Amino acid sequence: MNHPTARRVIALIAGLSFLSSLTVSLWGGVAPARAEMRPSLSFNGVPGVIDMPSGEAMKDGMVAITASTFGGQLRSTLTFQITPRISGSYRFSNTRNWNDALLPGDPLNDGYDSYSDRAFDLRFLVLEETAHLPALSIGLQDFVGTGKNSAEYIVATKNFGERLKVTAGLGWGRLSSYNDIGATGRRPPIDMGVSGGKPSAEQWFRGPFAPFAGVEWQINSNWSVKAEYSSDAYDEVAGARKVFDRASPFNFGLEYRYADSTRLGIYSLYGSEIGFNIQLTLDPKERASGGILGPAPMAVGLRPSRSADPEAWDQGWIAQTGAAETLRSNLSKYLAADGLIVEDFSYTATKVHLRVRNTQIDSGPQAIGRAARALSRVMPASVEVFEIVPVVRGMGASQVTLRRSDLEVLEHSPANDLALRQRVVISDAGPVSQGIGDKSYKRFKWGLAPALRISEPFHGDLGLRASASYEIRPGLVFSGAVFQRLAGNFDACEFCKPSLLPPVRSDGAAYNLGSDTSLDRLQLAWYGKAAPNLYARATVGYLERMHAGLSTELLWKPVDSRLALGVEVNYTKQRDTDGFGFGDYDYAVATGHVSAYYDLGGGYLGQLDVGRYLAGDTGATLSLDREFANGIKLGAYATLTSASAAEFGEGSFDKGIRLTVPINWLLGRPDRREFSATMRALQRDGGARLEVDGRLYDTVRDYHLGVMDRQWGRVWR
Amino acid sequence: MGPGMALRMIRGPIRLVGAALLGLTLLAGCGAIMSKLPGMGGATRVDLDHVSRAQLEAFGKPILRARIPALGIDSLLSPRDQNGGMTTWEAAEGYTFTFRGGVLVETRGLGPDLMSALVPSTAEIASGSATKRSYFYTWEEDANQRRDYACTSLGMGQERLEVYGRAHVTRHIVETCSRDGGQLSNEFWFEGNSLRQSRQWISPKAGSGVFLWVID
Repeated sequence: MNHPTARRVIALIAGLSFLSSLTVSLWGGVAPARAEMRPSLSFNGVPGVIDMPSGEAMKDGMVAITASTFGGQLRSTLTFQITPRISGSYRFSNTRNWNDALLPGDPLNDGYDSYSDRAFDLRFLVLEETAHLPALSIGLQDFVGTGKNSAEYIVATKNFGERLKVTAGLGWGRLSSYNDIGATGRRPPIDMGVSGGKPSAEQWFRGPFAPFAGVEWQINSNWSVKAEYSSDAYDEVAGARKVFDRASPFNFGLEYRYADSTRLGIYSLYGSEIGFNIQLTLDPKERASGGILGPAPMAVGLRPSRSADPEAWDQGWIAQTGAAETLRSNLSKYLAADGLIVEDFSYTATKVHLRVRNTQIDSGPQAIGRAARALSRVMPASVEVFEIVPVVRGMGASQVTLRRSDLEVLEHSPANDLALRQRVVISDAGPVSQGIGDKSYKRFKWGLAPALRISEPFHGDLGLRASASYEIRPGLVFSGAVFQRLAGNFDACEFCKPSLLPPVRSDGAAYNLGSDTSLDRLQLAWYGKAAPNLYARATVGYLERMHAGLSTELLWKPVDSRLALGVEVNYTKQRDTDGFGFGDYDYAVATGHVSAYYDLGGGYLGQLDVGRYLAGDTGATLSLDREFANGIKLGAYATLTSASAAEFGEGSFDKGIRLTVPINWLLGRPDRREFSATMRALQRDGGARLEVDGRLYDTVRDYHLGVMDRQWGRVWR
Repeated sequence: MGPGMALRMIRGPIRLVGAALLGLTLLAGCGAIMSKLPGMGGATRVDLDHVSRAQLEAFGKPILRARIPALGIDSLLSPRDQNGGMTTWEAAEGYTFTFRGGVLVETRGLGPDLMSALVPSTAEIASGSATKRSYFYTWEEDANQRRDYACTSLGMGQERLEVYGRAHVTRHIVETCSRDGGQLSNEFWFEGNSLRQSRQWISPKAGSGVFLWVID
């Protein structure tokens, strides 16, 4: 028979004995510099104790991934400190044995083996910790969803000395389910409407509230112990469904910190369970290697003084036969080591105009700097002005004009990046001059790599992706990609439901199941500049896995403008699930958007797209991204369209987060490729945009002022 | 209505949810690993302590030995070019070090490089007068970071250095520099008016490097 009090006492004694024995055996080591250490994260992936949140915030820009498990529940969370005070989390959780304890006729019994949920959190740091004040945060947990797991909290954390950290707070919603001590009004039931997925603002901080608390003790710089009192009763999971036994509100844990970035923990939870947690934190502002890797640049070429060697300054070299070819081939040799390719090259006696393609260096200013050094080694002494135009997909993205004398004088000067920036002019690239290009670049490129295609959480296919592209001329590229499935565990879409809208996205599973070999993309893409500051694109073919047709785009973006405006018009047909035809769906649609892009500064980018989506619905998408100087980018978006919540289906509207990580960040050597992922709560048919690659905004902005100025510190690198 | 947000398919041949998490896992772990690796992959590792003077002289050019313990670097450098009073030395692995009269002003290729610096001259250091230094780095967000120090130097007397079988008599000088929130020190071994050996600060992540002028 259950003696709850006895069990709680035993759990408490066990926990304390555990702690004290550990303390005795692990004592030792230097007291850590607490201020330097990253806050530890809870099972919910936010700064916290064990299952409860704490009042601290991570350092601005930090990204954390946490995976935790206990009592049949698995949680994995991605948390991003969006600003110094605001952080957001995206959590995926899965609870096993969901219906095991229920009888077949029970109204709660929905027949699923396990229950998966996605949740979004938001936290706001109200007070930073000072000598006298604690750190204070308010948080919304699972605030966009069904609402039954939603919680809000106010929590404070204070450090005492170098080792002790104390947390105490009040929770509402789920965090008030155990031993509430009062109430702020009545918590209205969630208005799920037809389909949930909307912020449950009418509930926030209303209803009963309960206290929770925790302590963390730093044993030495690697080991710490934690204890907490939890106000989450797990009414459904432990109560109705008996997935685990919540015998006590006390949790205890032992954590090991390996390097700044990793923490591992083992815990005793709720008097009955053992749990584990792994926390990974990453600071995108810092480079893993401590700095930018890659070989040192060549020295700036020095010209002899006019008095010592006046002939070197003579301008007669222009008339020499073969001068152009010789200069171009010397230049190509110098630039090749950095992966820079001469697209066009012309000159007068005093000025050289170089249009260069950057295939390798992740930073525009560094590529400009390397190109300038190469010009200083190759061009005769009379050439004083360098005009360097970085070219992307055949379009000149901007023009950097600098004087050779400035290069020579500033090469080893203190703070020479700032000094050079004051002397260069960055403007729009002019029209293409008829010069000599480098015909030796590789027009045909191909790649073969293993790829993972995920269709459902923990279900997907492993295979090979073969891609190839042929550049007919700069700005005109024929390319394709094929995925060959080798193995996988996605055999049937168990949870696909019919859609009230044309199934432009919700049938994705059918495409993944349709055949082992799939032609992901086969297209011809054209890029060009229609006028100064006006870029154009047209892409035709099998543009993506589900749709094929024509996509056209125009972008107006001056080099020095925070605002850019674009318009995109597409006409596509939905592809068959297994081949080249269009008969399965017989669905053609004209879609398009007018877009406004705004660089808010500090790396924050906003975008508003208004138009018509694939299912024929009209509406708007608002996105906000944060980009770091090294290219890591995190963002979130939401789309509202004329597709009603009922038509959209579960989730009510499309929202998600997206992440881009440049490959050079991982490899530590120069590389321009990037890895991107979009994580959505659900993939339904409302608010669906055509996934055509190579859209103009991201293509040209690397060489415009917003990014160039932020990365200018690398020009002499 | 079903169990709330029950299991649903995430579409995406190219969008990799789990792989994103995996990728970030690798990235976060990489931070720990990469900080232990030297700045550049190396050529074959030769034990420079056991090379003979004759082998070094056979190169036919001046040789400088650079050791940076924090990055695991121990290489031989030879002069690459000269611009005004600045000489740039280069290693086979691709790093370069630029000195003004023997005082380090710039490195490249290490990763945590010294981007540029405002430094006193060797005469000012040797004379013991109070000087100022500024170090410029690019770290957080690849942005220019500046640190200014006020420095004084102190003579430590004569020291005999043995460099690959040859003895050098040097004057050992220690320069101590401080700023609000930090301090560092550099050491110089002067032979006449030029440097025979020095230990100079590079950057917070690289620490100090020891530079030994072996072959002139």
